[in-house]
Amino acid sequence: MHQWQYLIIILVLFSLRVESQPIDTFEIEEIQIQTTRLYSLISADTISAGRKVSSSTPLHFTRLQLRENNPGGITTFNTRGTTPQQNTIFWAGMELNNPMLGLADLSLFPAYLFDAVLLHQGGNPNLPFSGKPGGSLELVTSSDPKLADGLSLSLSNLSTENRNSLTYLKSQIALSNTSIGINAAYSDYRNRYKFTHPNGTTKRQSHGRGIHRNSTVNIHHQINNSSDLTLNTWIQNTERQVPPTLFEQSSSASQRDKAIRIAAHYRKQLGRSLLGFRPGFNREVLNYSDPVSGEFSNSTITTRQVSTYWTGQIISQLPLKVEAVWRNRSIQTDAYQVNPSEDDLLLSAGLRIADILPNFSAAAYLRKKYSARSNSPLLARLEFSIVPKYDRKIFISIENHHRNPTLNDLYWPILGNPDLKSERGHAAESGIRLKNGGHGIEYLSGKIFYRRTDRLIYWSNHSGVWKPENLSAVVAYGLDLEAKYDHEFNKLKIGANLNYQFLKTSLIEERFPGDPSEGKQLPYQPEHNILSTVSLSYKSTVLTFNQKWTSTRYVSSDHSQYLSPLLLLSAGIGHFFSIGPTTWEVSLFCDNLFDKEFFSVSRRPMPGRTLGIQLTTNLNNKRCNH
Amino acid sequence: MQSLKDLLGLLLIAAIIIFGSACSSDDDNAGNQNESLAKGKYGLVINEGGFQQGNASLGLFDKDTREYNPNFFQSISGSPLGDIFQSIYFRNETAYLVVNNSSTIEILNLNPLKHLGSITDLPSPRYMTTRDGFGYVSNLFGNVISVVGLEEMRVISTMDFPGWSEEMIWLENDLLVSCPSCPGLYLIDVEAQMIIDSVATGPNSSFLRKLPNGNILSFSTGSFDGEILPSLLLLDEELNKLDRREIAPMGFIGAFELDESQSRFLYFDGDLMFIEVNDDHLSTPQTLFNVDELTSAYGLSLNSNGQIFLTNARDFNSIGEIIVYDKDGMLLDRFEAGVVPSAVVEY
Repeated sequence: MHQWQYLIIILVLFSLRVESQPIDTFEIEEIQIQTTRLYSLISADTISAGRKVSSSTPLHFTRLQLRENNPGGITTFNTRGTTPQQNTIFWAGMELNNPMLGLADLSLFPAYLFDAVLLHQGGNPNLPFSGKPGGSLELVTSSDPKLADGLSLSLSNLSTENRNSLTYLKSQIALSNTSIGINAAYSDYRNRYKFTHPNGTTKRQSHGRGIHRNSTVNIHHQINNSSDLTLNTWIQNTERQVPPTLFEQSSSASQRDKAIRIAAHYRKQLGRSLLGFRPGFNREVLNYSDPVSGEFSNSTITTRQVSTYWTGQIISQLPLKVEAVWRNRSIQTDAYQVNPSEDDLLLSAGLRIADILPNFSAAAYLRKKYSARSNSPLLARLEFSIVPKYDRKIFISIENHHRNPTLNDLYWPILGNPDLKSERGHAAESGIRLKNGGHGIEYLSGKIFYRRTDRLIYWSNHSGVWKPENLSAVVAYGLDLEAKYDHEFNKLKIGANLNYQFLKTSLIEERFPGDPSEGKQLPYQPEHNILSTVSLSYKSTVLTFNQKWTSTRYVSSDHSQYLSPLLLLSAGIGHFFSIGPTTWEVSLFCDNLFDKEFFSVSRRPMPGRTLGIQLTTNLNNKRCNH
Repeated sequence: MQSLKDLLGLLLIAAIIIFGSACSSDDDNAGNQNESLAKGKYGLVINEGGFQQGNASLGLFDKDTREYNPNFFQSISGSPLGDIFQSIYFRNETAYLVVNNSSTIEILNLNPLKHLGSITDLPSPRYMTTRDGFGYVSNLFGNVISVVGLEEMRVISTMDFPGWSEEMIWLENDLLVSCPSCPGLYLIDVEAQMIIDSVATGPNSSFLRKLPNGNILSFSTGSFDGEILPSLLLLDEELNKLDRREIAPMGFIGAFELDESQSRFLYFDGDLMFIEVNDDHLSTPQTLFNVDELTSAYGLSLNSNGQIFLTNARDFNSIGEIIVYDKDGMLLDRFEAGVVPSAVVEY
């Protein structure tokens, strides 16, 4: 079926559904659990706000460093000079990294189906099992009943000249004390785009097809004035061809990822404190096959997790949180000679001291993981903030971190190394954030960071045989600047976000005598990165530019191979209009406006200039509860 | 008015960001365009490259001037070689460059220098040999040996094989092929396209040579976990076993070759070791000479003067190096080659 036929059918179905709903049916009492929550003193960065505006990989125009094999294909991410395995992705309190590979494939997670994507640097008290050297991405589904006040529907269809398409639906409905959000997305990446072969010929061909299906159901029920229950489910089915590199004649490899995830969150207010209970379940079935090489792998990863926490105040002005999390992860796989099953128990406590001195706050978090294989060290994170004026905040954090070996590191047949130790290290960050900088500047922020990690896990080669070992240590430091501008000139609204990152990251110990990488910037870690988003709105028309400039990325550790600096610009124009109770948005966009030949991963060509169109229909029949 | 200045300032900043960025530039890979290669003057360096990195290269080492051209193939053909350069086969003045992960064989005429074309659509080529106008190509995957028409420069048929086919030698009109995955040696009647004999070997039997006296030498590197030791197998021309020698190595043995007289099997195991290959027996391992600390000895080659080339692949991601010794272990030279150098082939 053509995409436009699919779109029409969905539109018709949903327009019927909309008409059948009496618009005054939905009411919700204003009840919300009131308590003192224990938040980090350092706010997370919101890197996505739930909309798909181009054909790029979700989160492409963010400060994440991505390695994309092709649009919709395998995409890993990292932050601040870490490896992909040192970063984590969370949903509903559960870690979603593949424990076999230790990393998360970002293209499996459709950011636009979630209300927000937050980036936390370092360990976070509200994300169990965070605490690796890198960042934590949190896929957020809002459970605030105010947001579910009424009915809202959003249906969007996006098509590009590469024959890629995406259709997604986001809906939210409120029934008495219950809100239900249903989201679904279907994307078909045909990836027919031109590229230049190293022999100089240019041709258009498929770069690996991928079909992604996702649906989420989020239910929030206000049980009474003091308790509520949230239920989140997520079903996923993805089929992808592994594309050939520039030098391969063809690739017959393909992989399928299927997942079902269920998480619940029960909260009960007890006076000024809050008791929470969060069970979760995640089962992922991964199949990889290559008929030519005869390689195949079938793995089922099952995670069961239960967490219970209490947060409140024993002494005034001293919010406290304690939490215990049990997690079992079991793997059934033909890739290993064993089927690992691991139990982890995480105990954590956090204490925040507000205004111990004028305008000075501090927080401390302690965590320790107990596991049959290896206990973690005691992880500590200290945060300090000073608010000398209402519009400026200075903050400092200090923490230690660790990362366990992946299951592949340990159990890969013959080559796995059961004697590997976890990576360990420490990090510090300091920054300042200024609100209302004047002249339309909404805020300015600057952060500096430092991180050292020892006992890095490397797969090293000895006369042709690869084996994981604890080798060397890495130090990273850098600067992160951000500015947000928002201003109106007559009827012209201008919004802009500007982000600059500077990063130095290198090994400080030789992995072997004469290691050519020592002291050099690590591969795929650009020293400079500039992001900007500029939007110009006039009446019902919006012009948007997304820009990303990346300095040289070295492919080899001795810098003999590299990817040249890259400027990518995406531009779009959208127009809004209303028909009855619905609002419509038609957007035309152009990704890679300068038609740059670019590689996110060496030898994996990405699309040149790509035109596309997006049509979004919104029905927003909200009733405000004040 | 102030607002307008703000706007102009903002647009100026945006323009600087967008248009002031550095432009990309491609590598200048121009190399020496020699008219022809004089025989005996050069060493051709096989640089495997990193898996899926597409940075395989053919280097050219001038023995007299000690100059090294890192991109000899590209300087002739105008395009990079591909992904995982496995081996070279010479037929008269034509070099067949077998590029494993690109599934191709690039054909170079060395006198005069000219890129003749490519043989494509090979499953996963490893080594090549020729007979009567046909090329026979072993493959890592696909369980076939590909038969190539040399004039047509294309695959014309395939022969079934029980697993990964590797090195090949001719025993009169039959083809003896090593199979690391089976493991064993298989004798194929190429006219009938059927296996007519086989010999079991240790795991990972890759190396296969025919000795001047007609005997056959095969080396198996053993299992990766070290449970089954590497072993050298000496057969007569009827494939009868003459002797077998196990080696208890310090680490995995990845670099090995026969010496120029074809009477010693040399291998790297922390130091350079050898086993005497006699008419009907193999000696115990002995040290040929000590080698200073070497990160990752990946390949071992010899030339007709007995000079020994050890390749150091370092971290298998960076530029590697070639270390040249005389037969007594005196260091003669060392130079940087390409990514993952695996052999130096005399031309």
